[in-house]
Amino acid sequence: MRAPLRCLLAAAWLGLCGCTIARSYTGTPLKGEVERIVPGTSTRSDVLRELGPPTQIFHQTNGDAFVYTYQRWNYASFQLRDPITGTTWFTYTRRFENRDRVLVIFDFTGVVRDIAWDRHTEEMPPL
Amino acid sequence: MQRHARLLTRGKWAALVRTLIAPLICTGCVMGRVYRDHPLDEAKIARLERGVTTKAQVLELFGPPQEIEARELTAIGIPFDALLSRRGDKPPEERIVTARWFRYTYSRANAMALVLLLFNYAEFDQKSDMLVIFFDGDGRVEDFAYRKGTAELPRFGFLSRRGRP
Repeated sequence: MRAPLRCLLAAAWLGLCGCTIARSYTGTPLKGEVERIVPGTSTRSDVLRELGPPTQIFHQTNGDAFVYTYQRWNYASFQLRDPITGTTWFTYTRRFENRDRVLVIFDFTGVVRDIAWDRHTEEMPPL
Repeated sequence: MQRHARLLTRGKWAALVRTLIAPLICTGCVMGRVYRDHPLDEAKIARLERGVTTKAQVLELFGPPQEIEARELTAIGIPFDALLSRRGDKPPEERIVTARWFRYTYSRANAMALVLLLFNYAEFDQKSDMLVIFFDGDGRVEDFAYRKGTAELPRFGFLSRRGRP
């Protein structure tokens, strides 16, 4: 095959499509066993020992609340472009933003009143 | 089609395939690092004692915290202006003394991108070392928690990441 034809094919191939995958991780995966925190029994010290320093602390009228968060997002895009004009013919993007969260609510004396958690970062599809 | 098939011998097909694959392996690499604030000294953290260390000692050990919970003053209706001798003055120490907790953080982020011609991959990971110290009514350390999140930061993105990317 002649060189100019090869160059032309390569340029067309380059211009035709592009794919991008991106990952973002904010914070550290939640540590500790949430099941060990027992409402009505566990104290703030127990929570700090088990889960570490909270990402956010909220002051409520009837006690504090700790929030632990680990956030991830996965992004993927696919583009088809006109190799000559550069016009984008088609773009497909997909972004998943999921979090693992733990919320611990204390009463005035620093005893856990309620706890709630969800873990969604493991559910994200890789692509 | 038959004419094209005749034109492209096996060698030419191989050349064509090489030409099409070549752009995929022409790569560029981007790496970035972000450092925010100063690393926390673990030797100093080891000196914290519940019920013993005072708020003043904490300030002496670690300096001004990145975050202070000082809402109690406003919660009980004390305006800050009354604590200041003149409007615009630097807040007095009482304002810090009334804080219930301090937070010290040191954050790092690693960014990495592979820029291929037809495929790009980018990764950004931010983690923090965090020390939260709670004080009791006497201004002594009631509780504290520390986590060295930056130790979990992968150095070269997915190449050194543990677990699923």
